[in-house]
Formats: sequence, structure tokens, C-alpha cells
Amino acid sequence: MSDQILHIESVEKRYPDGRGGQQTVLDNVSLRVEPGEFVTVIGASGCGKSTLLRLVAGLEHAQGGVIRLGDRVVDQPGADRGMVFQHYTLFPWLTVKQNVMFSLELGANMRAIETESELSGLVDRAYALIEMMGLEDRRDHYPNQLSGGMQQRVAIARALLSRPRVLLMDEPFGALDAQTREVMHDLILQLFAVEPTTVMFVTHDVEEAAYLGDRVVVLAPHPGRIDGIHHMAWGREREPALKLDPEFTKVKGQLTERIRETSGMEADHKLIERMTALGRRMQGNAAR
Amino acid sequence: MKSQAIAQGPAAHAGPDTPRARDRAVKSATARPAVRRRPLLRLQQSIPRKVYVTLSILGFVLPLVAWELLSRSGLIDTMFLPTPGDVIEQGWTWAHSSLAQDTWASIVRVVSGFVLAACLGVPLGVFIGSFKAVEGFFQPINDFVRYMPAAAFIPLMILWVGIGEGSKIAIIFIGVFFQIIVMVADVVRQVPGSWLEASYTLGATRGEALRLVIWRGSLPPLINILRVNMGWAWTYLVVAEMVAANKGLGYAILQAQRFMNTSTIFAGILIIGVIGLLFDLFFRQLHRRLFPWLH
Ligand SMILES: Nc1ncnc2c1ncn2[C@@H]1O[C@H](COP(=O)(O)OP(=O)(O)OP(=O)(O)O)[C@@H](O)[C@H]1O
Ligand SMILES: [Mg+2]
Repeated sequence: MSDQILHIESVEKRYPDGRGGQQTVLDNVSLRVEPGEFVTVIGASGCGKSTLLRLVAGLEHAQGGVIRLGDRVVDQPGADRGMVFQHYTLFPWLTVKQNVMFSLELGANMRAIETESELSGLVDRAYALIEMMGLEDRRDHYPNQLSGGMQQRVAIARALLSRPRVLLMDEPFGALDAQTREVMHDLILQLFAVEPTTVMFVTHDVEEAAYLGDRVVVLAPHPGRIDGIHHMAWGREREPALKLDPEFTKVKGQLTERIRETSGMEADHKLIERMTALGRRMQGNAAR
Repeated sequence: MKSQAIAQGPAAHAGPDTPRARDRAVKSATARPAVRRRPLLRLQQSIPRKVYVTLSILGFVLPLVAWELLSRSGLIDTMFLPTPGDVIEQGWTWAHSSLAQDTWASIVRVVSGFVLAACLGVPLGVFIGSFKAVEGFFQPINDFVRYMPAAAFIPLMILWVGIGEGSKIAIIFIGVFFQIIVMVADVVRQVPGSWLEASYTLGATRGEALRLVIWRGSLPPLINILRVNMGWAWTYLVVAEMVAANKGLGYAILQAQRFMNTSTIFAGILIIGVIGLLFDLFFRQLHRRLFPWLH
């Protein structure tokens, strides 16, 4: 099992700031994710959450530090790290079924398959994943015939087909409405109960982070760094009622507070107060 | 619904069960009659198929009627503007002599030049759009050559490949090859990077991403590019057949000009138009068949 630990060690990432200089986006970020663990990452917009995930995916290169999955150093994308993106990335020319089975067209995955029964096992798995995502009657539909929530479920099934060691999810439900998102939360929990997978899940929704994560990592911005790691005390079996639990609400409040404090959003709140006051004055004027 | 339509009086005239009548019945209950016409001119909205087809037919018939009236009015000498009847008659005579031969010769030339240009231009365009290094090497020179008029290459082509079929095909090739390259490179560049990234995280190699994502993703616009360029290939036909041809539609048009036979010129141009339209329909149908999710 220890060969599946995800090690992020003192990672540093800089981008050109567009004025000839450099902007540090991630500064000395270290994190260790155990096999089967569900880690959620939250933080203010622009603090480097996506960048961190893209580094683990191998889609970006760090200027410093190292990322290791087991004993292998991550330096390029690979099927051992599946990813679900915030925006819809299904291939529009493939049906739901074909999208989910896309990795069966790739040499990297097919070389690992030795027998005919292994292959048919994967095909069965594709059908099972589609069913688990509640899409069995949409198998032959094209992505543009699906709602946003359905598209993300297909993307999750597609990423899981070849059993990646780590699943990276970058605000996968960010574009969904609140109700669909709630449904997706329970679907995700159910899915990973059936099939334990190491997950790194980025979100800016504190409730989502606390509801899904075994641990919640709070990133602070400018430069992006780890502010703190919070263990969620409730077990893996979670249901919607938990979201109303006083203990849960308290933790949510604490996490929100951390984000607010690290991101200097106090200033924003002052601005909002000023604007509300202004709005009230204008209403008063209109009434007169 | 029905009783309402009848109650509306005038709206019932179109028959209460046609969609338009229902539409009108609802409309007149809420808005002034003047608004009725507007649905046809809403930005990018589709209109009833019947209206669309009627408009398409009108688009052909009105110019024809205008032509008929103008040629009969005596304002223009029929030597320069024959009547549609003359043109049909001339076309009929032509059909009984060499029309089939001429048409076939022209189709072979256009299709050969076009297919050759597509077979070389599409892959080159795909590579230019996919790899910055290839773009750096080919794009500037291509943009340069692209602006040279194909017709200006005629003397050179005669020197190089002689006055046989080769030089005619070469002119059509030159006419579309460089355009295909630019246009294909453009649509390939527009394949979203996120599709590529998604494929990489599923384990795709560079070659697989090129084949399964870039190629597949740019195929629909690519068919449209071919459709447009097939049209252009036909426009280069007359130019190509200026080179020592002894048959072909373009040749016949040039020949007719020499004898002031305007009816044949008109007939030739119209026939090329019809053939072009057929090729266009073929590509549209292909698009429909190959890319069901877009229709
Ligand atoms: N390709 C790039 N070039 C230059 N700067 C970049 C690039 N990608 C990201 N950045 C910068 O890095 C910082 C972090 O970006 P990132 O997308 O990781 O933030 P995030 O935490 O995911 O934000 P959000 O919650 O809005 O998605 C931002 O300030 C952004 O401007
Ligand atoms: Mg992000």
C-alpha cells in the first residue's frame, strides 16, 4: 500500500506576471495523501488550488520541490492520475458510452491488458460505472444532449474506468445548481464507498469540502501556501442530515473564518457594508 | 384552444389546426397584429421549413424573371443578353453534341486538382495547427505564396508540365492548395486545449492526442473547408482551361466568346453552377451523415 502514497514535497510554482517579472503562485507546499483518503482543498479564488492539482496531474511543471506517487516522480500526465475538470471536457463526437470507454482506445491502458477476459472486464466496468452514475438510458446520447450534471457524471466515469491511483477533481460541481450539487455529493460518497479511491478534490464551497473530505486543506493566497489541515471528525458514512448538525456547522464556520482571515477578505466585507448603506440611501431618495 | 381561435375571428381563416394559426391565435390575444411578421427576422432563430424552402425557390425564380423581363425589354441587345429561352435552346443543342464530354473532362480536372490539394493540404494544415515548429517553418512562406494569383502561374506551368492535363490540374491545385492549408491550420488551432489535457490525463500519448482528439475534433469544420474549396476549384476551371484545351466547360465558354455566342456562355456558366451546387449538396449530406451530433 505504501507505494501508493501521494507525496507533495516543498513544491514551488511561479508564473510570469506579465510585467517581465515572476509571480509566486505556490510557495513551499507540502502534503501527504494516504491511499484511499479523500482530501479536499479550499481557499480564496486565485490562491493556486487549480495550479496545485494541475501539478499533481503533470499538466504543469514546478520550479521547485517534487511530487511523488509511490516511488515514481510525477513529471508528465498519465493514466494513474485521473482528472475531472471544472468545465465540460467530454468529447462531443463520442456518445456517453464511447466517452467512458475512451481510455480503451489508448495504448498505455491497453498494453496493461493481457487477456481477453480482462478487456471484457473493463467493458463491463464501463457499463457498471454508467449505471452507477444513473445514465444507463443515456448511453447512446451525445454530450450536447445532456445536462451539465449528467456531463460531469460521465466525466467522472470516464476518469475512473482504468482505475487511476489518484483521482483529481477541480471544482467538478462548480457550474451546477445547488440542488444538483447536493445530489452529486451523495453520489460521490456512495461511489467511493463501493470503490475506495484516493481523491484530491478542489472546491471553493466550504460545505462541500467539509461534507466530502476526510481532511480539509485550507490554502492561503499570495503566495499560495498551506494555512492549515483540518481533520473531519465524522466517519465515512455521511448523509444530508449531517449538513444541519451543529458540530458540522461549527466546523464550517471555522473553515470559512480561516479563508476570510487568510485572504484579507475583511476589506471586501467592509466594501459590501458600505455598498449596502449606499443602497439604502438611494432607496430613501427614491421614496421621497 | 380551438374555441379561442374561433372567437378570435380572423385568426381562424388559416385553419384552426395549423401551427401558424395557433401561434396567431395566441399572439393576437396578447399583442398587436403588427408584431406577427417579426418571428421571421429574429436573430439566429430558425423559421418554419416551409417558409425557408419558399424563400430558397424565390431566390432562384426572381432573378430568372428579372432576366426574362430585361432581355425582352429591348433595353439590351440580345447579342449581349440572350433570353432564358435562347439559353435553354442552346444548352439543348449542346447536350446533343459535346456537352457530356465537356462536362466529364471538366469534372475530372476539378476533382483531380482538388483531391490532390486536399490530400497534401489537409495533413500539412493539421501539422501546422498542431506544432508551433511546423507553423514557424511553413506559415510565413505559405502566407506569401497564397497571395500570388493562380492564373499567373499558367505560363510557368506550361513550361514545367507542358500543355497536357497536368498543367490544367496544376492550376486548380495551386488555386486551392494554399487556402486549404491556412483554413485547416486555423480550425485545428481552435481545438480546445482542455480536450487535449483531458486525453492526457486518461493516458493518451502525443500521437494518440493528435489522432483521437485534434483530428476527430477538427473533422466537422474540416469538411466545411473542403466544401468551400471545392467551390473555388470550379472557379479556377475556366482559368485552367485557357491552357490549350480542346474540350471542357471552361473551354467551351472561351470558345463561345470568340464567336460572340453569348447563349453558350450563359449555358456554360449555368451548368457549372448546377454542378457546383450538386457537389455542395454532397458535402452537406456527408456532414450530416458523419456528424449526427451537430444536426
Ligand atoms: N498559465 C498561467 N500564467 C500566468 N499566471 C497564471 C497561470 N495560471 C494561473 N496563473 C495565476 O496563478 C494564480 C493561481 O491560479 P489558480 O487557477 O491556481 O487559482 P485557483 O485557486 O484555482 O482559483 P479559482 O478558485 O478562481 O479557480 C492566479 O493568480 C493566476 O493568475
Ligand atoms: Mg481553479
